[in-house]
Amino acid sequence: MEQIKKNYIGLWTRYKNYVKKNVLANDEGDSKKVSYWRNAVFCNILTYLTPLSVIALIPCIFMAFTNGVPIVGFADLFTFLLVVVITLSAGIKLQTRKYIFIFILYCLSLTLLYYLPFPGPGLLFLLTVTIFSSLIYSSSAAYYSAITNTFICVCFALLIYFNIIPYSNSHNLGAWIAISSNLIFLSFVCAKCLHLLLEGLAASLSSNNLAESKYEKANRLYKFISQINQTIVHTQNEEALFQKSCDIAFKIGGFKMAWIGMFDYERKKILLINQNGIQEESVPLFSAAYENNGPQDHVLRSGSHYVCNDIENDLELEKWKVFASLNDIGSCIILPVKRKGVIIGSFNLYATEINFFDDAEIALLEEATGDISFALDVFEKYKQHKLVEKLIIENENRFRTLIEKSTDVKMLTNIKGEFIYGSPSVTKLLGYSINEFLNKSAFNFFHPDDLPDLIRNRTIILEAAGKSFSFQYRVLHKNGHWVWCEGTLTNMLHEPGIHAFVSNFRDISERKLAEQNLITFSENLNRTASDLQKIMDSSLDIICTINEKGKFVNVSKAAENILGYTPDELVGKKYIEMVLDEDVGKTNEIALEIMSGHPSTSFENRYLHKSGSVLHILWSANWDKELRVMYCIAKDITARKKAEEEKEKMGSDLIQRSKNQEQFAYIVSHNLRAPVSNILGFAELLKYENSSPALIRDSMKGMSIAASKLDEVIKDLNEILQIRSMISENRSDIHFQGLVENISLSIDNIMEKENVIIRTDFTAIDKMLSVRTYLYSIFYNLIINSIKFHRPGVPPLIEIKSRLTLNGMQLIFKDNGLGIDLKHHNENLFGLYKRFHLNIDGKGMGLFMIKTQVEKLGGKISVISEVNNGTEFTIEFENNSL
Amino acid sequence: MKATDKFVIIDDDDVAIMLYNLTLKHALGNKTDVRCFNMADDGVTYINNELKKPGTKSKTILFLDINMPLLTGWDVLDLIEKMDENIKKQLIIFILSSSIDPNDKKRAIDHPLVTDFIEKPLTVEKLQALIN
Repeated sequence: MEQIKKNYIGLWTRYKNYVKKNVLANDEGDSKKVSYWRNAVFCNILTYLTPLSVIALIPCIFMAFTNGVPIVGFADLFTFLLVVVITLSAGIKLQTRKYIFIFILYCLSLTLLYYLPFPGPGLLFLLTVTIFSSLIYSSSAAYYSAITNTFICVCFALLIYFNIIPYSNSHNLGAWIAISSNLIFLSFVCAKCLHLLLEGLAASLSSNNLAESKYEKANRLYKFISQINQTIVHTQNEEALFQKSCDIAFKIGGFKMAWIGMFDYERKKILLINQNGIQEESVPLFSAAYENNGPQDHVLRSGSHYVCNDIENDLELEKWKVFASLNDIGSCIILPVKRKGVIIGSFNLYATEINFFDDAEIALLEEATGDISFALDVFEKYKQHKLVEKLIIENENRFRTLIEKSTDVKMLTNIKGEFIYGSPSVTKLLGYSINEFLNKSAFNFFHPDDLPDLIRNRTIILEAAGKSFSFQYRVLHKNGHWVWCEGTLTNMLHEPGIHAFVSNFRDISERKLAEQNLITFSENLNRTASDLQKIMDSSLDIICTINEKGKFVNVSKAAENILGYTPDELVGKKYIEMVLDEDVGKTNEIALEIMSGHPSTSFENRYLHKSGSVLHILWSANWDKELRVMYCIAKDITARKKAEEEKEKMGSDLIQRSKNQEQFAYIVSHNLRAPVSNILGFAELLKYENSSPALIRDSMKGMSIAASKLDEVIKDLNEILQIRSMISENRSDIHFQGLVENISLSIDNIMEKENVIIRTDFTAIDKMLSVRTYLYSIFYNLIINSIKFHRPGVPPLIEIKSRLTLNGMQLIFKDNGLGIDLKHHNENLFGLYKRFHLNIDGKGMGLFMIKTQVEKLGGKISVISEVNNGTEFTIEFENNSL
Repeated sequence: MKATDKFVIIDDDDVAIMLYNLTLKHALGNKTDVRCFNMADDGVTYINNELKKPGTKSKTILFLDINMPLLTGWDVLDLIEKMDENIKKQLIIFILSSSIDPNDKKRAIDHPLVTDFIEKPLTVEKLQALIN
């Protein structure tokens, strides 16, 4: 049973759907519209009519055919078939279907009215048509149908009157009028009622729609606000907020375009910041100058919104209108965006519909914009807040760092003297961890010797707020040793936030050590200084300093011994004053050299002793550039100098003598050899057998001459050697005058012959301690020489003088003779066998002998002479040789 | 050395001059041209005048002593040095000395004008060695 039911239901549903599909094929109307329902009713009529009409159809047809009215039967059938067609066949337009339907029903009803004896069915169908047309078509159609019915009734009344109808006898006019009038009024009533019903329905539906759309709109707006508020809560910055607002306006608010712009007061422009819904190309249009009294200007000045609900008709701005119509914008609103009460921009929304912005909407949008403004304020506040926070943290960090990183220890003690805070430097300085000294009594950490002073000072500052004192105390390190610290203790008990004694101190152990070292050092220095002084004073050499002006600054005690002046007498005096005149020049020179950075250790000069004697001083001097003093050591080398000089003299004498010896040797050998070689030569010649007698004779003569010459040379040699040998004869005082007189006497005859005049002057010194024979020989030879080599025709004048020198004496022999060409003969002057005047006899031995003799006596001989202008011999003896 | 060569001797020792003369004449014949001077400046003058004459193909041999008063042998050499080339070309100079000072010998040999140093006396043998 269930299954069959199901099948039927399934079948029924399929049939229904099929019909629906056919009939409403191309017309899926809006269910909110009345027309939709009308069509639905039509469809249902058809759906139900087709099967249900069978109920009426079969009896009708049966009765029609059995009662002699077949045409009715055919009409019924035809109607039924047509209905089936419009129900089931596809491809017929709905309107067509409706027309056919109404039409066929009218046909049927007319047929029924005409052919049937009773008016019932016909009138029934007329009424039905009215009802159906009201349902299917609009309400006015029903009225038309009613009128049509009326017309038909009237027509039939006429037909009855004129007996055109077949069954006229059953119909009388009166009866017809009575019956048909029922139909007419019922038609109208139905029409009206249905009209009212359907109208009400339509109105209700449309108000429903309106309400629904209003609801939707309100919903949208609330969603919009809600999103905005959410955004406000969740965004952190202006930029994000603006962009999101525009996005929300576009997506959720359903606006065609939304943008936010900022006012640029200076340039009277509005700059688009964020937007949504505007095409790229159009964006620049929005960043533009706003006109005076334009919408933006209005918003800017008044601070309230500007709305235009019908841009095409209301808005004055021409170009705006163009844009608006291009982009399909019907209404727009501009809302002010404030920050901290100042209008900084505008929120612009464009909607497609006209009259989009009603009061409720505007109120909501204002609320939304207000929220945005609020958000901006919040951002601002937040920014400020953050800044201040940052500053506070920075400050705190700074101060914290200052206190904690400072190498100075900062501590707070309470009134009882217990530590209540210490900076980390405590650990660095004293080794304790913070815990090890907190709440401990500070007095335990100070040296017992310093404690009384600390307590006393502390008590003093306790009486006055803000008072402080400085200290240098020893503080106990964790390791047990004392650390010298220097610091201050300040009374800040009344300072808000502190309420403690504040102490600030640092490690001065290094400094203390340095102080100690300094004391030790200065003691050492003093000791060293006194040692140095002792050294200076005990030195035998003068140690002194001379300033750049050449004055003595410091002089050691030795000055007294060496120069004869005490140090006090010398200080402030210029050293150059005591230098021997001749050495002043070179002393100044060397001083300059030393002062330009070339120290000297070997400069010698002569100073005058206080007593006037001459001293040789050896200087070692060094110039100090920065202090601009010369450090000098002066050594008295007078004795040494003398010894040196003597040595030098001895040395040079020795050299000279050895040279002389050499020379002597060669000369002697030569002079010996000369005659010997001659003898040999002659002997050679005598060897030859074929020598002629003349040759022999000459050779023998020559040989004997040579031999006697040889003999002479040997004799001379002997004489010289005698002088040279170290025969130390007795020295005695020899008076020069006496000597000269003796010699004059012995050569009296020669002197007379040559008219020799001898002049003497021995006033300077008239005698000397010497060997008489030598001195006699010297005088004799010199006198003889002068006589011998006189100028022809000029009587010899010989002048003999004595003179005193610095360190000895001189004897001078001057004559007016021939003179000697010294240029030529200087070397050989006193040489052996050197002759300078060959025209005068002589062996060339005279001067040689004189020189030898002079030197034997320890003197020196030198000569000054000019050809034809006389000769002057000077014999010099030094004191120490006498 | 030919017999036609000329000899000049400058020496202050007369005896030595005598010896040279005898030796040279004995070795090379009596006709040998030997000029002796005991004054150096005379000798120098002679050389200068004699050798200036053109056409002398033969050489002049000079025996020069060193140790002389006034002008020494070295002085003489210096004077010769200053003479004309053609004069110098004709001279063959020998230092004849009785000096045994090695310095003298060295100085003589090193001197550009001096051909050789001969130790006195000048014997016939030494002469013959020279010729060769």
